[in-house]
Amino acid sequence: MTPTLEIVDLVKHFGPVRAVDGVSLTVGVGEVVGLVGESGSGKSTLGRCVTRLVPVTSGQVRIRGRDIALLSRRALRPLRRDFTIVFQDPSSSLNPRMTVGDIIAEPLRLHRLGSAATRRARVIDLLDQVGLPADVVRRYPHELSGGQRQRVSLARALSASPSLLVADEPTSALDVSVQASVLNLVGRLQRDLGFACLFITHDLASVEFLAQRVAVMYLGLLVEIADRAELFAAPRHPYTQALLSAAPIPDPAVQRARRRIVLSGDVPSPVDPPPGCRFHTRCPVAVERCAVDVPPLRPVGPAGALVACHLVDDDGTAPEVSAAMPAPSLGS
Amino acid sequence: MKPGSDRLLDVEELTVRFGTEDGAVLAVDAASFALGPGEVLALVGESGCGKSVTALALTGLLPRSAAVSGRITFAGRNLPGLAERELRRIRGRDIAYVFQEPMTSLNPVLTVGRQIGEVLRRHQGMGGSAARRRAAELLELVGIPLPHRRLGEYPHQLSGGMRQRVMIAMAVACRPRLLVADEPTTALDVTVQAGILDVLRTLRAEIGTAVLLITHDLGVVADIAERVVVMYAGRTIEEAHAEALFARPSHPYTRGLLDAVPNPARHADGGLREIPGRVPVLATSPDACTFADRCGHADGVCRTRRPAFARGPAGHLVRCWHPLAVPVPP
Repeated sequence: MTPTLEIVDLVKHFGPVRAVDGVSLTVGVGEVVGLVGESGSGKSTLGRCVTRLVPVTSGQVRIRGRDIALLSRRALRPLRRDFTIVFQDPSSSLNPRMTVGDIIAEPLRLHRLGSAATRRARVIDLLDQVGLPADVVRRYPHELSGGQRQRVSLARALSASPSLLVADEPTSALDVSVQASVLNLVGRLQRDLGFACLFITHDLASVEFLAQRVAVMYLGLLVEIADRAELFAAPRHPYTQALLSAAPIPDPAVQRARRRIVLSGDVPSPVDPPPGCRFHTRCPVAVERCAVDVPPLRPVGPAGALVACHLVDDDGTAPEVSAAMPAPSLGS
Repeated sequence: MKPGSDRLLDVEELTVRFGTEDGAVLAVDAASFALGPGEVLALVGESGCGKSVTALALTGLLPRSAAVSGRITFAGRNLPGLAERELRRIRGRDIAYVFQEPMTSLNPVLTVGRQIGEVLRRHQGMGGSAARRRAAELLELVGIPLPHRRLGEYPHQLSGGMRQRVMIAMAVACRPRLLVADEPTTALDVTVQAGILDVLRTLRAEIGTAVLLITHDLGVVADIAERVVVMYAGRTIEEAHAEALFARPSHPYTRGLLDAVPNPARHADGGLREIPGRVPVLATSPDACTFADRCGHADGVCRTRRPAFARGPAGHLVRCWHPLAVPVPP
């Protein structure tokens, strides 16, 4: 079956900034892929390239087999209903002068789908699906809470029944208890409606909850792609190991028994990324070769994981980075 | 909490009201907690629960529109009774603050060395070269490599994590007895956050600073806090040692908060538990539990009488008419 999204060797440069520097990633039909990375990794830029909110420098973005990377805006317009994006901050992505009903119906209107009456019915149906009462149709975004606004964004994004939803940090601006309900909602909508989803976040816990596969990005490149359970149980790339180790587990009994990997230094500039492996300047286990040869993203292990690291063997054996860390000196 | 004179900070019945154009808002409703010397206490809650307002109220940092009452005893002195001049001396020297966004707290046109030096000259009367030497030591303490070179740099030349380290270095320049850290890692990436939490641990070990950590992040709490106070709608609703709070929450809201957070250490197949409804914004303190409308355990008492903050079955302080039973070990 043709995957819903196929990104091939995608490059996006902003002047000298190499934000995305050759990324290939596939999202299957009805699959949720988590794209994880820290600030400056290029994950949001990748999401914007996929939905063509920014022009692509080179590479392919195939949606259900059709490459949209370099299509003109005009040629792109009729295809847009098939892929949508929701953002972190719904208050800045919802038009404050439009009612909730008009906001949700807008994609239908723009793509001339249905009559005014069927669009109204569709809006009520969508509100119900995202768990909002029907009477919010006449409300304005400012009258709603952050969680409710994010529900409106989701209803709008899904109104034209897209086959791909890109979700860029959809819960990061929300409170803990509201986050849970939005994560549950995204999961439920995805199961009910069957769209494919590229879920972009810095929050490993929400990826663990929602995604079937996880891709980890560092400084414009993917360093690891693996099934969720495999990635969380046995991360292979040293950066993935560090990222998992740094994210605190909300349970003191577990958290305080962990041996943590604390990376030194900062993420280097994407204007002048390090030669060889881009992570080698901060990698606790890097060897000479890492500063010279670029490690390709290659299949390792029996379960089809992809890892870009010289130190990971073909059978999937990976260096244990925490063992290279000094023991905690100030235990607590 | 150890009794009596062991306390560094003792907050009793702290109440903060704001008069706004839309009417009065009760931001903090008779919050009480205490902090021992060198202790790390986390004040936890969602936005609007009053945790940051509590932190600012300690040393009189709230705007004039805030009406503050209650007792705040720090090292034996009642802070609200002090003159602004005296409070200013305490801020910076004995009680220091670190906020979420370091860029808004650093002066963009002064070098790092100048800004740290300023604190040392002002509060400790140090001369130029002594201040510079000490500033470099402080940068080293907070884990900044090449401290002498960094002294000559401006805030915009530093990464977010480095700026927050500089802020902490400034905050601890006078070896404060209490560091109030309000969401100090919220704007940072997790790999950077891990380093900052290590810095807080170092400070505690090296200069014995107590830390009042204001956060919404239960992962951060699990990592570093010894004791936890949970706030909801302006009230303190549960207080316990960190391990006990996570293992045996007594208040239904605490339970709800813990269940709402996805935990990579155990996959939530059946979905995350949600807390229905919204946090109320209150004008006055109701004769009721403020969580009653969202609570599955609430009954008539909860809606008509205000629960006290009292010792519950698990030994935690809890503000609830029906605290959760202690789970029987299997």
